[in-house]
Amino acid sequence: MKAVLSHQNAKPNGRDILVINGELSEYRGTEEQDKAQDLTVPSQDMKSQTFMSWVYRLGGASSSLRLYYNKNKGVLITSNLISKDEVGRNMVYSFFCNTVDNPTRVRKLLEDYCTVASVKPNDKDCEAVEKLLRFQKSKIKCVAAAVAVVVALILLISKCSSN
Amino acid sequence: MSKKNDMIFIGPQAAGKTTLFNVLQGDAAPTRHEATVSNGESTTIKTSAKRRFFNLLRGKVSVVDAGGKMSEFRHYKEWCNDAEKVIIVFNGVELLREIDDYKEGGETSSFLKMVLSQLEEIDASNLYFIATHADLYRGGGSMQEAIQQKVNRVNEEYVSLFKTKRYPMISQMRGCLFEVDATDPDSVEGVFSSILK
Repeated sequence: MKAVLSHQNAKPNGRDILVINGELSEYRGTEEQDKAQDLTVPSQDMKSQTFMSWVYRLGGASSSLRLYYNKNKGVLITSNLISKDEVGRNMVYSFFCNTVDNPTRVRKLLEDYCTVASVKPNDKDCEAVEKLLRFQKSKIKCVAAAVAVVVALILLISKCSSN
Repeated sequence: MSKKNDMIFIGPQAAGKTTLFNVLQGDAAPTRHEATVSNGESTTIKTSAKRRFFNLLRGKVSVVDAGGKMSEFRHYKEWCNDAEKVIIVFNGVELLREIDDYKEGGETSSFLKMVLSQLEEIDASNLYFIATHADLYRGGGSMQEAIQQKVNRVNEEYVSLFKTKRYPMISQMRGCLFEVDATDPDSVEGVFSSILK
């Protein structure tokens, strides 16, 4: 399992704060940190769950919440923390985790890593992340169910119109 | 070959990139007081303001508002190569503060030096430096003279720091410096009228 939390420093001239596999550090440009940082920037091979993120924003999740997903690579979450920087802005964070099968575990990891870094994530974001991952897992079932409903409706309508 | 995006805003944290971006969208002030993260994707300006200049940009200008986290710095080169104009935003007041404190490793000057060292590799036809000084305006009208002095100093320091033999590529690449109050639509309009013409 590999997980990385990266968040901006509260000081505008401070280095990024990293939690790599549970270990807290300040970004110093080491090879390991660079590799870990690369995982926290959205890449082309990770699909953005824009629409569903928008749905969860209605439920109180942060408007900056983005979830990128690749079942073979992992999940990347970017959003703003409740914690603020020196100029009073909600600090930005990125969290990558290569576990995608267990949404509850991903949420727990995100919360734990934030605790290690002494910052607070938005509870609604954490809730939305778990739900988004559950949705992602059940997406195929949902699509199949939707297709079945549409087919059933078409059959029903055609039967009614033939009568 | 035309580039993917019209403009990209890059710069260190709390430089005013998102504030500028929001004002270009037609918002007089930042809509959200949050730091940003970017994946290099652009947004086409959808201004809702009645100001003629901002409305002229509607649907025509695609802008990448890059985040200022260090993890994003390392992607700037790739993103800059996809943009027609590279807008380097930094806090002019912070730069002066660093110069006054003789702070060599300050974020603003380090960032500018890092960008300058990569200039030759960035394939941008146009490069612009924007020194923001919005925080000075919080003092109100009586601050105007002090602001002007600061703005003049940003210009002098910029010229002596960067437009020297140390960084000859700036003049070769036509890097221009503008100062802007990122929260003031008149100020933003003035600068971007020049940049976009």
